[in-house]
Amino acid sequence: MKMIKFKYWGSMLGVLLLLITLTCAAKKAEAEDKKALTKGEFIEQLSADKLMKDKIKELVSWTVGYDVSKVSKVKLTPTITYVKAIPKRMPPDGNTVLEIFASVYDPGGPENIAGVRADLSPIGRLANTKMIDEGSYGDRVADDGVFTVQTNVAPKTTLGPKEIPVSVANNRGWLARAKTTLDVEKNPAIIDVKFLPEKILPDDQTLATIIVEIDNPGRVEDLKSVTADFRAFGYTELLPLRNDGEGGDVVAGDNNFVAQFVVPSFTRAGDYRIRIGASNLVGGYIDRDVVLKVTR
Amino acid sequence: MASNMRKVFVFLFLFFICISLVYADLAELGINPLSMEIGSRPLGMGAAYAGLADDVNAVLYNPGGMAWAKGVSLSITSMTNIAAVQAYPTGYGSSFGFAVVTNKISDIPIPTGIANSESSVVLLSYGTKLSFLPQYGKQDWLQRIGIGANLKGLMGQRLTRTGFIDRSASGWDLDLGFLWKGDDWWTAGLSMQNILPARALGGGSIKWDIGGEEEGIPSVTKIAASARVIGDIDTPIFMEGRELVISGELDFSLAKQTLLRLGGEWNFSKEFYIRTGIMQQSGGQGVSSDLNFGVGYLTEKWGIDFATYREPAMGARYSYLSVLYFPQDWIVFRRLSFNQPSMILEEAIEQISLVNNAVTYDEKIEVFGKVKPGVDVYINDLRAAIGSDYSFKTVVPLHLKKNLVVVEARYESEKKTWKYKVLRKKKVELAEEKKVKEELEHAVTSEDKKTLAEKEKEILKTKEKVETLVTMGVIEVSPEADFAMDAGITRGELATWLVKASGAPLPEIKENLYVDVPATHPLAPYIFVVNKLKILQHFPDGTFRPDALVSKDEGAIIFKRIFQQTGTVR
Repeated sequence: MKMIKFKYWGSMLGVLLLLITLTCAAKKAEAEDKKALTKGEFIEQLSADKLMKDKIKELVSWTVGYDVSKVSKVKLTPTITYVKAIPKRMPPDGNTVLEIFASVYDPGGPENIAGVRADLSPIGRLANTKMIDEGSYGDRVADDGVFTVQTNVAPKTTLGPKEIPVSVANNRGWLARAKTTLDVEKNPAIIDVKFLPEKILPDDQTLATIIVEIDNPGRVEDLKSVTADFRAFGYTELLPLRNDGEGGDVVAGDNNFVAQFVVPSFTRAGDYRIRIGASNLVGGYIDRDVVLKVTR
Repeated sequence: MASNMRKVFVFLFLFFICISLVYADLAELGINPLSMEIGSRPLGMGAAYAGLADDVNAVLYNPGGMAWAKGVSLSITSMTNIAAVQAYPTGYGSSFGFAVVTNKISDIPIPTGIANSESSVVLLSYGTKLSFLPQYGKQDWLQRIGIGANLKGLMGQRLTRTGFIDRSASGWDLDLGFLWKGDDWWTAGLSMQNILPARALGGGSIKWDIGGEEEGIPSVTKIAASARVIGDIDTPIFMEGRELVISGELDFSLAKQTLLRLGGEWNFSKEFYIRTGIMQQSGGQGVSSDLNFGVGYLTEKWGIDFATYREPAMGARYSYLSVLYFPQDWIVFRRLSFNQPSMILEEAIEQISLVNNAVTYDEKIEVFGKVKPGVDVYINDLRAAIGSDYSFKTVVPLHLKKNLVVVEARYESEKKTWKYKVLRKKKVELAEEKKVKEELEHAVTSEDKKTLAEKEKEILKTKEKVETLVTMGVIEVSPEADFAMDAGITRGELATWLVKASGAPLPEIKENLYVDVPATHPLAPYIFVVNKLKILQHFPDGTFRPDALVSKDEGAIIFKRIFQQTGTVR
């Protein structure tokens, strides 16, 4: 029993000594802390310094230091990477679909874009038309940053070039604007005319081909007729050109219209004027004279 | 082609500056009643004004500047030398001008005795921007070009000379002017005064009553330019509340040698102006120079200018006093309620949330307001989205310390800028403040509450100092923990804060400084600087002990040393 007690006494003495040591250390630290310069005292002293006083005075002065460098140059506005209208030439028929695409970017991410709007008033539609990026109504892919609107040109719209402004606003109230142009036209345009071969033999046999490239406002499907006038060679009617992939036409539905013909043997060698005509469903018409060389 | 163009140019030049009549009673006395140098502001600048022409005085110096002119000016030297000039904006980028000038020059020495001249001139003026051109009117560069013309009638010219019969005369002539505002800070001008050849359309000359002689009116062509070299943020040198305009011109005339005019106007405190100008002309007796001075006080609605100017006929120095008035809402067609009122850009922004000289702790500031229809708003050069109700609401990030928020209203190609100063301070939470607030909440007795309130007040005072130092980047506060004012400051902290406060450059430390401060120690550069400045030394054992607390005694010595160095008196 005594042995045990003695053993405990030793441990207790050890603990006591440790406590005394710790207490002394704490007291010493406390005493040192009291002697230490506090942050508050340091700030008071520093603020009283003449140099600091001058600097503080300058900081709070409303007449010093407000120059161009103090204007924030952070890029906050969204950006319109491109705007395009497809097709670029449109008939004023109130029917043919016009698609306007605007690719936008915002430094705050796509979710920061509040809205993209197109001013369609130049083509007789709403001035503040919403463009969408939802993968529907003509928009190809949802949330890809390319906003789309499908519309058409009002029938009473005047012909000529039209500017379509597009604006994008973000949730922080900033705006960017860009524009695209399109031509409101009725008449188709003849882009190119080719004869194959270029010089044709008048032998009633050699099959020649005429290829006419047409740009119709709106859709190529809305072309009513494309014809070539070969009456100089004895044809009684205008020769219709086709775009159905047959009769020499390679690709159906493209912009190239094709017809095949022969030149009669009684034809004299020389240059012959051939009139190409094209008309469309909105009453537009264009013609162009080209020269066909007949050789012997 | 180029040769033809040159011929045309030479012809036009000669057409405008030639006079064909030889008779010259007035010219012999050095008097040209239809070349009027009036207005204290231009005269204070040596009348180098054709390239500036930015106020009502444009009527007299360059009608090309009339497109931007507005107001009324009354200038007086004596009761017989008075000029009233008025420019009245139409609201369509143009102004009508009207001036009445009476001038008397007495006691001009002549071989037979003395001569006196009295004249009254009425002037009708019109100036416009080229924006009236239908197809190109909205092009920015056309909005920057002004053209104008003056029709000047000499209503009565009376000349009395010793030994001669007193005579009277009348006549009329035309001025043409161009002003090109190349940028917001510089302009170039061309002013052609008295351009009519003698007797053309019944004008271009002065007809005397007795004798019936006609005297040609000397024409003057002025090629001029001006620049605002110091001023707002759109000038080459930005200076808040200060502005320096310099202007110069060359005046060509067949009747006189080419005259060089140079002028300057220094604006301080936004309302006070000091002007000076020099006129230099070479003649038979060498080069003569005249120095002019002027001062002005201008507010948004009215102004007063004073100038001393050497009058060329007599060579005497005169003092001019001009009073100006700028009516704010003063537009011809708006008053007449025409259906297309023009925009007064000063009122383009109807409401705005910003106030000047604002202090905030926020990292950003919301700028919102309302504009008039058709007005675009740019904030810090970025375009704000305007809603269908003509409102806008944007968020502008703020730097720590000083910020300038520039708001610009644009209407067609006109713009008006406002600047707002915002000071962003760093917010600091003090541990003591929190503690006192808690104690205040639980305080029961009014005495305790009063004591704690006093304590809180003291803490807030100190807090402001802490916030200022944190804003200045002198001391750093951990965003995670509250700043404890009664905590001891370590040697490392003291070194860092003192060096930051001084703004001393930090050296690159390549070698270990002390046993416990290797070259890679984050505080090594600061410790190096304080040691070099003998503010804080290392311990005898070769350590610096950056984490050791600084004692009050040490602090007292350090600050005594610092105060001595900075000349602080306590």
